[in-house]
Amino acid sequence: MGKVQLHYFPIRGRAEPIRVALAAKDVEFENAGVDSAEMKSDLTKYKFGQCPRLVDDDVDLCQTNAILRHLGRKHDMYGKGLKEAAAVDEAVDAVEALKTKYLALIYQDELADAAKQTFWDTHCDPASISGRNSGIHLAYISKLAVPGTTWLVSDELSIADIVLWVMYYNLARIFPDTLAAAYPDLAAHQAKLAAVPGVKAYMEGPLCLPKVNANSLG
Amino acid sequence: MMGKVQVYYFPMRGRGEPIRVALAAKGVEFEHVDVDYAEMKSDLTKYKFNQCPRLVDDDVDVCQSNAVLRHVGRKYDMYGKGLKEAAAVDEVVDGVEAFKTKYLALIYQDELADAAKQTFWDTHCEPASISGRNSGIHLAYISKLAAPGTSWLVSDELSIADIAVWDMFDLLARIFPDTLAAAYPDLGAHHAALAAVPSVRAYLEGPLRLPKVNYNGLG
Repeated sequence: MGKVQLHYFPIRGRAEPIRVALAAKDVEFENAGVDSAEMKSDLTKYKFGQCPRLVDDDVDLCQTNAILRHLGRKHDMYGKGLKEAAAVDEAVDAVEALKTKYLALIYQDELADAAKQTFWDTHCDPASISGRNSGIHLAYISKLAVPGTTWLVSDELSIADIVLWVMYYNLARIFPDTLAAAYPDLAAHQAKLAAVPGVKAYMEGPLCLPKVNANSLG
Repeated sequence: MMGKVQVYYFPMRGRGEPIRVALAAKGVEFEHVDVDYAEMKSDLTKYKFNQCPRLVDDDVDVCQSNAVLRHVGRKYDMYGKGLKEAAAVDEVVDGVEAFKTKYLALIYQDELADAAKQTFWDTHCEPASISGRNSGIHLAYISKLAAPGTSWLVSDELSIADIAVWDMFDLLARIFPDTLAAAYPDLGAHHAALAAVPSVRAYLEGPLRLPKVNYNGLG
């Protein structure tokens, strides 16, 4: 039973939810790095020519959310029963869709002021929830919270909590003055998960890399 | 209380189709319910993202086509056996979803213009271009996910991975009728094998298989 190996670039990027999920469950892992040439040529290891890739005792796996779902199943982070599992999936897919817009803001628009404003107006401002947004809006995600559960959709911490936490964390870096005010519930969730001992230790330790995105923006 | 499963969607195949084929494959009775557009855009309890498809059964009321598909996979034993096969199912479903994004852009943004069709084929389908600049999106990647020696794509059991691939191949075959099967004989055989499963065949020949594929009539 060796350490879980996570192969990715030396940034947080798409690997971050995977690291936080492992940390939250006290699963030892290492940032194993990725050989770009190997990534582009070895289709056995890198099935889509991309990373992250996770190797543990059960799987050798690519695709960020396939990895997260594997961890969800293996380490009891998928809620209890069919209804909670479906709620987890809704949240994971919704965050993935918002992340696509966030990544476009970072990598294509390079955080230009006008693009930042459009992103906020279209996908974050609570008042614009039912506007033309292709179903992509932080308020939809916020409303997925199940009343009365300890965590987002379950009494158990799930991968839904993890992906939302990373997304909020990244958004807070670029909207430091407006995000918490617009989403006090998500801010509270952020603080609560940050206080989970495994997560706290991870954020303060060497496995949490300083660089968020490859172009150093955000 | 075991009523029919209800699939709320537009009166077309679109993002509802893999869900229907999955239910049909397992002999699960369902009904297609035309989504009420005004309700979809206003009722956030039912339509959590103001979008469809939405599936309602005895266990869930769920939106997001792949969340629905995964629910069907868990409930009706279409997720493989064990952690390794489940992860393989997810890789396929996610791979097909990424590919579908490009297909939908070709249909809705490029409106199947000849140049766009050619670019789509060259970049995301042509087997020889597998390691080109494609953002990890290529039919050949998906084709190579097939586990050697299993009855179906990644398991001896039919899974939602098979369903997702089948639907995507079905859609592509309509726009690349002469080249697709020749380039991907394995996926062509897979397509025929799933279509021959009695419950799938009955579905394909029946009234729940709607004639309209995409919203704008293309493809």
